[in-house]
Amino acid sequence: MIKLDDYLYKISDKRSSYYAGSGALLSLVPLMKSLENDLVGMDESFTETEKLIMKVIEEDGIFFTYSLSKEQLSDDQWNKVMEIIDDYTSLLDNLNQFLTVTELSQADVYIPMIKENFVFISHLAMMSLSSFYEMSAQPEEFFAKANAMLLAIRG
Amino acid sequence: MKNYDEIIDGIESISDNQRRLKYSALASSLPLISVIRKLIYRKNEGKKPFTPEFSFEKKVRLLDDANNDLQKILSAELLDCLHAVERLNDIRQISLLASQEIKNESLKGDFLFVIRQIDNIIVILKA
Repeated sequence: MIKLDDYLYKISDKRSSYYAGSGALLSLVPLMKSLENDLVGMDESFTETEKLIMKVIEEDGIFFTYSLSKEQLSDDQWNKVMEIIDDYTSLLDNLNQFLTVTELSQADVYIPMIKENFVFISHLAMMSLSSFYEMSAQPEEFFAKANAMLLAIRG
Repeated sequence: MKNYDEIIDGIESISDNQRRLKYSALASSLPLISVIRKLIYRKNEGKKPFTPEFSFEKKVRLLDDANNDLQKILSAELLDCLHAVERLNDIRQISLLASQEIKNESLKGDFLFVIRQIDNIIVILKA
């Protein structure tokens, strides 16, 4: 398992395939760790969200790189794109849920930072998604998955 | 000095809600500094590098110093919010100056995101 400290280095490394999206996601980790103490009864949601954050940190660069591809994507690449879309969708759904719960709690001071992060991650994901829409020969399932991600972005 | 894993691991043990909020907000600035560092390197090695007025080398040194200082602050027993705000303002200023030399809207957006988050962190630290 990669240490968080290694991610800090990779995100700052000009040659790595970790970009601003990974940095934004990593910056969510301390906030979620702290918020976990404020919101009781949501342990499972936090565990799932933290796992998703770590997974999407890894996937964000792949998603971005594939979205820039001038070549037609292979079946394996499309499968990876759809897996990443699913992960983004779950993560954005979870963050939306946290925002709703946090708004109703005394921990609402976390909202501006989490919301800013949510908007930025959503924006990056949508930019990549629009490139995938413009490509040819998308698999049929792509459209349903992309639609689910757009719904998660809308909240 | 604590590494990032140790900083994150320490969050749950802070029982005071206000202190934990400040500590976690400050900890969230470190990945943002990594983002800025990468972006300014890429810009400087791209087709349109920074102008001499930007003083790229000096800005990278400032950024690294600020990053070290923030890690030291997060490793100390007591959180020195005043010092942290000063360093965050340095990073904010570098990000702002860099963003002013960038035409690409998407890249500019990355810088502006970091600036907005630093503003959010400063508000939390000053409360």
